[in-house]
Amino acid sequence: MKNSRKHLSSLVSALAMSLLTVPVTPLALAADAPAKTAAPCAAANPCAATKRRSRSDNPCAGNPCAGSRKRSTGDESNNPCAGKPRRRNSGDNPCAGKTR
Amino acid sequence: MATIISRENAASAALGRQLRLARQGRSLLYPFIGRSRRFEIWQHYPRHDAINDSGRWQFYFHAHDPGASDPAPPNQEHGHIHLFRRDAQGRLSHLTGLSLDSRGIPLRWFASNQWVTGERWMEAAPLTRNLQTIELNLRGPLAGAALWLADMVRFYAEDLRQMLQERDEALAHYCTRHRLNRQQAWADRRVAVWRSKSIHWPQDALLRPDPASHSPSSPSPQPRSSS
Repeated sequence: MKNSRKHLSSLVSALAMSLLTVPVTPLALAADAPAKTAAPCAAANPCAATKRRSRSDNPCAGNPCAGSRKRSTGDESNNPCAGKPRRRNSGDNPCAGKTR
Repeated sequence: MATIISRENAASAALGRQLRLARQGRSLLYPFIGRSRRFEIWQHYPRHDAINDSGRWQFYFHAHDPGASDPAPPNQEHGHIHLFRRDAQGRLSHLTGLSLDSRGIPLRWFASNQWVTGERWMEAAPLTRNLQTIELNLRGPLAGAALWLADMVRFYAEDLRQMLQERDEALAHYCTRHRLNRQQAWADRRVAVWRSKSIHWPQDALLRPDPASHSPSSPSPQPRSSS
């Protein structure tokens, strides 16, 4: 108990010191599209979250091309970020080095 | 299976994450806005919000226009995180907002009025259920910030539960005083924030005040200040 408190105490001190060296983030700028900026509360819910059906709708959540791991169904047309399977030969690959 | 993490462990984890960023010369704002070409008022960071792996939580960071009064951010606030609970249908209930200063130091939690986010209103009890086991796991550049946010919610879980209970009381009191029903009070533009709770981070990690020992405040809404 005493040790953990000591550990917390050292973390708090270190953080307090380190935060002094963190640069201040500049204030937000007015948006390029001024419509919302001019009257943000004209919108019914100015701080509404983005309505999405699922996590997969979110292009900013992590790696948009990572997707969930699943077995290939053979039809990748619904997977825009799927890599194309290719045979390992240089005919496929215009930038392949020549084997000598 | 969700695990209950002690308040002390949550504090330690949150401090550690923030410290690692600070040692790189970065604040907690960096994961949200550091890679953006411009940081614009009202814009969501990330642009389409972040949803955790379980799909139960959604959050984003943004800043209001400091010159605007509707709703104006409090002094020192650089921007704030809105954290929502999601149900199975993707409907959102606002758990809390967390104001951050320009170095990413959290300043206060707040409970906004319904019109601010257009949320599906939930009473405090179900809204704050199992906060000690909240997990915000996600992949990508916001993964660390999400874990930090979950640590903060775990550490301040009791404070949040109390703040949201007071929010409900303030709403009930307001309805009685102004002879409004709940829907009318939710849409009342005179009230942007029902309740807020200032915090002193990172010092709170050591002081660890017992939230139950706080003196109750009057159940009136706060002056319109921020969402």
